[in-house]
Amino acid sequence: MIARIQNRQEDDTGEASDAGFHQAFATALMDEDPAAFPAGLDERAARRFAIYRNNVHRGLQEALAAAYPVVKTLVGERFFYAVAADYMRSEPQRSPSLALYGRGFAAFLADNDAVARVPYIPDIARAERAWLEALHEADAPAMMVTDLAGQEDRLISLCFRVHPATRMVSSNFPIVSLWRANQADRKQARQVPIPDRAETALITRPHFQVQMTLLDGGAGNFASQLLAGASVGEAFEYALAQDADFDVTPVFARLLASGMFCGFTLGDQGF
Amino acid sequence: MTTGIAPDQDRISKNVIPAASLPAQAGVGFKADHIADVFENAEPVTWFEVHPENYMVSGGPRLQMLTQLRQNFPISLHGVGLSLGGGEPLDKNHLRSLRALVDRFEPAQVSEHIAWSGHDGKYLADLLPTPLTSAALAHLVDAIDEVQNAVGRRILIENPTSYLALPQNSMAETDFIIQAARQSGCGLLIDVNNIFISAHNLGFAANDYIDVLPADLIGEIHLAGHEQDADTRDDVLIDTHSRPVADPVWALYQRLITRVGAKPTLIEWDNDVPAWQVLAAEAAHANDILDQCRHWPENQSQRVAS
Repeated sequence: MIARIQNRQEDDTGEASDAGFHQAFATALMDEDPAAFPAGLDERAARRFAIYRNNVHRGLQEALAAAYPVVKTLVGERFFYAVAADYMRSEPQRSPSLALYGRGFAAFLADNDAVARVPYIPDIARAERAWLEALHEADAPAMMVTDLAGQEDRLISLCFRVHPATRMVSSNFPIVSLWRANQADRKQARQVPIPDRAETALITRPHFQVQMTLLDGGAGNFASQLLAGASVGEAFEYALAQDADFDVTPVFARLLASGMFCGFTLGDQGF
Repeated sequence: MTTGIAPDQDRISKNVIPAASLPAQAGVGFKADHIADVFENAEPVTWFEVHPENYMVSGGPRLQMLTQLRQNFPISLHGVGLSLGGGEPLDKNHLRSLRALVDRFEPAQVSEHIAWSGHDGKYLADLLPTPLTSAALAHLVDAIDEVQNAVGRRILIENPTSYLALPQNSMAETDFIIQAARQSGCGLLIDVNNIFISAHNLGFAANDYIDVLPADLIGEIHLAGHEQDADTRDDVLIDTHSRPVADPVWALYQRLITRVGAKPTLIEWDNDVPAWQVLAAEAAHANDILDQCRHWPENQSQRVAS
């Protein structure tokens, strides 16, 4: 069935109908019916309207595919583009820049009944979103381990300023292992067994290159406290309370090397 | 107390003397995949064009790459998102973002399309057809004026690719774009491939369109490849930017610059992007035609006269 979208403000002059024209054209572009077209087009023009429709849909859906490549791999292209079509109608893009398109896609996936059968998919989407945000975040020099020279006696009191491009995503599923196994450059590699465990992804951007670091439970506890502004001592006590075997030294070294911080303060000592 | 790391984020192109305008030579659309080739030896390409929308981010490697590109070449910011032909006021946030890029990168050229790409605050990710009516012309002129005031400089506007003729159209497209430029004080970016495609799809003579374009308004020319639509029920060409420039488009280009003189000429190749050498060969072909046009004495006098 052919749907004709009426110009709301159509009149006889044609001139004054431009406002109604944009509305009718835009509505028909996003119509669920692939044969929809704005009123007034002849048969050939109505058929060619599909070219604009395809361009619009492809533009938005390819932007989503570029932002969520691992989700696309995991759910398959057909399912991904079907969900992407629903998503583009559900959460219209406001900015003419598609660099950060798809902000709410993880939550949208979490509400999808079919996705619920693969419960780690929304968390993979959260990790991919964090990666994209980290890529485009503001620049700042990352703090290096050597910046702590001379602070050895006060380490326990230190609090850190978080680099703008730092993100952390915790999941009950092995999101980092799944993410790594499904990178385009790993697809040809031998299948690596995915461990059955909770994982936390720390995403940072040292030297303008985004990287994802796997944090186990204790490291995730410690890092989350530092990200929230706790001092090294407070974060250590928190992690130790969760896991009596928590070994802070190697974890602290890894976090510092990740580039997740861009400065430090001497906490409640008031410096 | 914070660490004493000196911020070195302001080492943008402030030390580069901005090019007053693009050279009347071949440029290409910049692709990140070509970055190594571009910095090793960009010959014969002397300038690059990018879509500003792709750089409207806070920071990170993409802006860093554009900074490096700008330190070595003049660049042109060619927008796709201002929606000059839309039915509603321009997006002020988008205008501010564009102004910030113009201030930071000091482009040799800023341009946009005669098209609309959003409605009711929703971005539609395509260049949609502007009605060729006096009401749409008045709106377009106001929109161009607002952009030129916002970025503090003259812009160029590009002729559209057409797949269909809107029923309310009441002006010739050439009249529409020339009047838009004359009334707003902007220049024209003439996409020769668009003219070829529109002429084919709508059934007019591309030569007639080419021959009425005023030389003084043309600030830049675009060339690109197109494809036949997969839907074979209809003989329609699609502006895919996925192929070499077609021979009849080269012929139209030669016809245009023989009359109007050498103009900065961009090769656009955005899909199925080839190896750098393939793109560079297209640019070399454009340069050959530009050189021929410079060596015709009658064109020299014509250009001085125009």
